[in-house]
Amino acid sequence: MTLADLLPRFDGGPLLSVPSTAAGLGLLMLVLLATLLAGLWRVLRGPSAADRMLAAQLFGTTGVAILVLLALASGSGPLLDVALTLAVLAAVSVVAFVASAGPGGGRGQS
Amino acid sequence: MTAPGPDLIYGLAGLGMFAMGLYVAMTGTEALRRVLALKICAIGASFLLIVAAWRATPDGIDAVPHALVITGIVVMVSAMAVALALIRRIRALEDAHAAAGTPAAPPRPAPRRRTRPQQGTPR
Amino acid sequence: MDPMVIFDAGLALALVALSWAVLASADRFASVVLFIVLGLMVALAWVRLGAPDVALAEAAIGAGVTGALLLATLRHLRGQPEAPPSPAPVRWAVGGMVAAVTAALAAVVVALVAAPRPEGLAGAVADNLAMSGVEHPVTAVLLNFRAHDTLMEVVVLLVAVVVVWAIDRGLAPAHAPQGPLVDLGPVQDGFARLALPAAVLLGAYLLWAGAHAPGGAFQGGAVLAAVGILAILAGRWRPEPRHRAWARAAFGLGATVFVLVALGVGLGPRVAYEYPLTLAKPLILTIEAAVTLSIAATLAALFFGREPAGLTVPNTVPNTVPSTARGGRP
Repeated sequence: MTLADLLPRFDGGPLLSVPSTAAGLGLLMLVLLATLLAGLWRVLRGPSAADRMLAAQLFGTTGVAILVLLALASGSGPLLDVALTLAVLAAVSVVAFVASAGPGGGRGQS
Repeated sequence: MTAPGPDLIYGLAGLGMFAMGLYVAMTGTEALRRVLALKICAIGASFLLIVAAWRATPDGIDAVPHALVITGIVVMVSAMAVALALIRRIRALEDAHAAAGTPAAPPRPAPRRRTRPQQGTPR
Repeated sequence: MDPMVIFDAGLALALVALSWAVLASADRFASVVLFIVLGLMVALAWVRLGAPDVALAEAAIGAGVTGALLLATLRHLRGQPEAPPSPAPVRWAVGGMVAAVTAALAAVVVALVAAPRPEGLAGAVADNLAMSGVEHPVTAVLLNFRAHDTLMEVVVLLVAVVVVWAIDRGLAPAHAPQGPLVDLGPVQDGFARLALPAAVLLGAYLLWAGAHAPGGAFQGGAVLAAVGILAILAGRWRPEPRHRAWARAAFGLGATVFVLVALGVGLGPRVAYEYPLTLAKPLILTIEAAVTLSIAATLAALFFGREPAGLTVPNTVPNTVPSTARGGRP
């Protein structure tokens, strides 16, 4: 059994029943992609290292959302595994950043 | 003319990444950026492999290039770790020179061996 | 127009733009963060191309290992001036060569997309899947049909950790990749308490799922390596000299089990890697479990870098870290 077995339950849910057509999911994915591109601005501009890192962290969450929508659109359960992996591991970079910056270290450096 | 499929779109993106990565990896002067460029070049090459394996029907997708790319990802992370260890070592040697009072030679105007600025210092 | 075509085009453009930003950014830290974001977007592109295994590997290694490795190394490059660019003739010559190679590859891609595709090896893999012992084609290719490649890959990891230990040997503490231990505070502590068990479970699940769905030894090993990295970062585990023997055993375990199984099979009437049908699945799972442990230990060691040994080189380098950040946890 994989997480795919859980998919039918999601399909019938009232929350996901409205945009369940492929086109609706595609539009949602476009919106999420647009938010990703908007967040890129903050990574590019900074100004502080913490700003960049937090924007990158936000991308992890959006990426998980896009993967879940792709899983719903294609009915492919393994994509939920990819989303789960990303969700669990997305914070590792931030922890590494905090550890390497030290207390207050993320502010001054750009 | 039908809409382009994901194979053409990502194939062209992979080509662009391959070219940019290869160019910077070969002409870059900053060690860390060259390592990143090499990884971007590798991603571009992986795109070409995966695009070659892509078919419109899920059953037709070829698993062999996928396995090759997974192998490539693991080999690339090994190579990256070794490269980063070398970068740390070079920095440690530079700092040791600086601490010993023999300042590491600053990069020359048109240097040929930029990645080893401490070469040529009096011993 | 199909929204997925717009999505693909937008994602592809973002990939190229991000790559350019990584390579052109004047700020090293920005480069590294953009590179981490690039890894995430590449994983989305692999999913769109029907390669969830590759997406899993990219997400696990990119998010869990590469980012932490780069950020840890970045700490040592602070304040280092940028070198001047390469001489113009070199740039022109390399640019011309790259343009020629890319043009040739572009012709291949366009021809590939325009022509009716040959079947490739998909049919051969599907025909022999029943004899491989696993139901998932990519795992069958990795652990059965092309098992020797995979063994060599495990050996490459082994060589990498040997080389990194040799390079970092005797490095002063200020240059050790991990550096001084920083107290990350109660938030990180609580996060580690919640995330570590979840990640261990996820790693084991991915290993087990690999037999019939995307997943397998590399993805599971990368997730478990991220567990090790997180444990080191959060101060929950500190590698010590007495762990060295265990670490060496863990590094070698995967390759050893792999070779022993291959030789054991090869001693009978069969050739190496030609597992008997009834034993194929247990043998593959045994190899995968050993390889997963090895990959996890190796990747975590590659992040930690320095061999956990008593340091003899005195720290002669001016301290760049505020003294409050040193000294470890209370």
